[in-house]
Amino acid sequence: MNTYHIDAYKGDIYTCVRSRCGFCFHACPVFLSKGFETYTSRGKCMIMKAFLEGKLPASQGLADRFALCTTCGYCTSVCDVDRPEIFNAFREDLRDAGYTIPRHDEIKENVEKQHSPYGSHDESLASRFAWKIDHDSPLLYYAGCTARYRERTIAEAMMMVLPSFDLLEEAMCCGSVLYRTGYRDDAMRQARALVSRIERYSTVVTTCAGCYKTLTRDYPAMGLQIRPEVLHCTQYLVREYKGGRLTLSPVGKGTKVTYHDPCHLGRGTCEYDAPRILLEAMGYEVIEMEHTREMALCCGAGGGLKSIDDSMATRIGSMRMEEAKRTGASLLVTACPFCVRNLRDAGGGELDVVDITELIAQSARREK
Amino acid sequence: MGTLFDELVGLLGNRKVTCDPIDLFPYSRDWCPLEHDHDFLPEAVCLPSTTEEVADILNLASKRGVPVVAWGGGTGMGGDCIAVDGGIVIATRQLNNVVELDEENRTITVQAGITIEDVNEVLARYGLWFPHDPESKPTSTVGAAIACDNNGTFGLRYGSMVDLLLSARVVLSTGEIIDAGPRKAHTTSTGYKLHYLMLGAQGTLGIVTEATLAVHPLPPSREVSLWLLPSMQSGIDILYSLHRAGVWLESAHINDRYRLDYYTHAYQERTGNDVTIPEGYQALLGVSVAGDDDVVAWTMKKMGTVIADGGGRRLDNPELEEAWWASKHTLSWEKNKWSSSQKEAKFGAADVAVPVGRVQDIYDTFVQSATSRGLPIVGVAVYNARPHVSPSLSCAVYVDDHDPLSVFSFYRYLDDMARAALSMQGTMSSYIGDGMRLRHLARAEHGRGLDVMWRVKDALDPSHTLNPHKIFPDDIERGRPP
Repeated sequence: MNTYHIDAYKGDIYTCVRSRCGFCFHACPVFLSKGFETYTSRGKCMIMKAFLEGKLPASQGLADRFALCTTCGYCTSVCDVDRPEIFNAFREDLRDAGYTIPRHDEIKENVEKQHSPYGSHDESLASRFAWKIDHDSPLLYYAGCTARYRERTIAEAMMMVLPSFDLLEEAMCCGSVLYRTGYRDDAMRQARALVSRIERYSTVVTTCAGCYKTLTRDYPAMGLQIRPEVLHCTQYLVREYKGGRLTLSPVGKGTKVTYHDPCHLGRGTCEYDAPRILLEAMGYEVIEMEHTREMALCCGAGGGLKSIDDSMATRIGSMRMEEAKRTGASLLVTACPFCVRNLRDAGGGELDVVDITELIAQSARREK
Repeated sequence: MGTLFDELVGLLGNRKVTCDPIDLFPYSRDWCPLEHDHDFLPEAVCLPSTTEEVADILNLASKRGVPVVAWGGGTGMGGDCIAVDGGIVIATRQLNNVVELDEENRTITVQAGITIEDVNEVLARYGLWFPHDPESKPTSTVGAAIACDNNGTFGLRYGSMVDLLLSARVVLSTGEIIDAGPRKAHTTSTGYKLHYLMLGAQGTLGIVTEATLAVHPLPPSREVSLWLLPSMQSGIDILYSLHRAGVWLESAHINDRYRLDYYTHAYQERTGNDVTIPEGYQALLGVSVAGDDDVVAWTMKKMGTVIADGGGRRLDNPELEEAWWASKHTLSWEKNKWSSSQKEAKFGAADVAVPVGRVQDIYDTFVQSATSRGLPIVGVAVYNARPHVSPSLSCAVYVDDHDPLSVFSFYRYLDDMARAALSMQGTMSSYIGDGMRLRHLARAEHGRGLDVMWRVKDALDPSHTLNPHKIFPDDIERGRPP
């Protein structure tokens, strides 16, 4: 008899089939884009039930459909069952059966060979801030691959704000993308490699919501313990601000902004307040969108979706942008380079999208 | 003639049609208790986004002799939207636009696949709301609420769909599109009220694609309270006393001792705090009052006096009140997650309604039947479906969907409750609908009226395309082939 990774979640799958509330639909980004229940969490549970009962075989069709999920976790916020965990496990089952997503395979190879999902990269992140880098510093700035290779202004803004810090000179992906696309063994290898590299630091600060969730939530779930304290940049900056080591000038006075909770930072790690504290400290007036905090709509980029269907990812992002525009804010602020990237692709022309670190860089003055 | 799939794709394009079993399984059951591996697969699922596309599908289906079932949120509790005979499922969730919000006339016209929650998100921007408020509102669609004629939390003040549906656009199986109802007026004495005919018809007469609904101002303030009562029937008496006194409640729910224990147990588990229920109290009244602050304050005070006179007393526990209200209205997820209640077994409900003087009697029947059938009791909640006292009962038990005997016993229990309600001059269903679970008792419910209903069905759906094996028993369906 075959055994599957989702066997461990059988009880959860049948709980969904029983309760069948469908509350997971309401803001499921892929469902809102595609329309068929196949793409909802409840629909996926019905499909996995059929698979477990031998009514549906493993197939490329299943792999293709289960790849279309941003793993945003909205479904989990309205349910007792951790849905993305189950979907990750099923992605793994389908991969074991030989059904993979070519683009995700490429990403996996990129991480394997070059330690970054984006593949080749040549420019050193440190070049502009070499004077700040101290290899003996107890503080590591871990930018995350997107800030490092695609949204460099975010990494540069953060480096501008930080006191002296150390930087991993070469790429070292945390494994988030592997973990969320069904390559959990490979994610584990990558995670082990990173853990050994960061062991010596006291504090690791990251600008990436996905990396932050992976290091603080997924690593422990994988059985990995991390010695250093890991903080999202907003948490670190709030601590610095409250401790009087960072002064924020009121550059935002008179400006209305709205804040998009990145899924991995908000729902993923329950950090909703730190970014808002910083925005208010800089004088911005924060106007909330209709769906906010644990009910926030996803930007559309995560779970490997942007890599395989960019037009769907931006379609989802445009729903969020529409909601943001309705607030009347003149700026959409978020705290994740991947969200910034997708929301800009989705309609940044009509409403400016910035990462909070970029605002902090304009406002911060570090006390000696 | 091409394949069904090809013809549907010809009508809608390939992004809106699927015949792949992977996509069909999510539409293979609704919420009604079935054995865990029991599925009803349709042959195709379509996602129309206009009334005209629905008409095209129905035209095609009636020509091909393929059944069509309309699907809203798939949370129905009676199998209403299950494609028992295969055929086409019309999934309505892409019919999700607000057509017109008429602030001056307090109406909203929406496509039928929009969820009740989405309607209210739009209305809230204007200080308005659509107060038909079933607990499934994040998923339940306007069309499904019409087709099931279900109840909601605020029925006592605002009524249910019959009180809020002003008019509907309906597609018949012939492909004809009709506008039924008095447009934006609240009442009419002309002609037959065809829009009301769609209420509770479970998509067997036509498919509603658009509805104009009455909306109300959002109340500025609300207070929720729980009251211990000596009995279920005393709750009804108290509601009449409040009615006589002129106290205008927003909602009132009477719960039995099992429900009371359910709520207090859940509270104790979550908080670690004990709740002591004094001797002599066998029921729980949950009430909300709403309006301006001074009106709410006055109502609370007056209500307290009337309830005390009726033998009740306040269960003064704000956390418990908040948790109860989360289950009824706010759906605040940290307080209440629906899935957590059904990890081991599923809820199954008999939804009878009885005359106001027979609530205690039907309650006693419930306890007796559930116990003798070996079904663990969840408890009874008495909703009020319409303005003024109008009990609609949810008599819930646990059903083990991995145990065929438990599922079998549940359906025998449903029969017990249905027959008991009829014997008390009530009805076997008050918010779920017959679906596929009660149609064998339709003759007992409707008598010769059932034959007239079939003639209505025959007239509006001559090809018998729409949702077969619902409402009517097999002998009627077989006796008059199309």
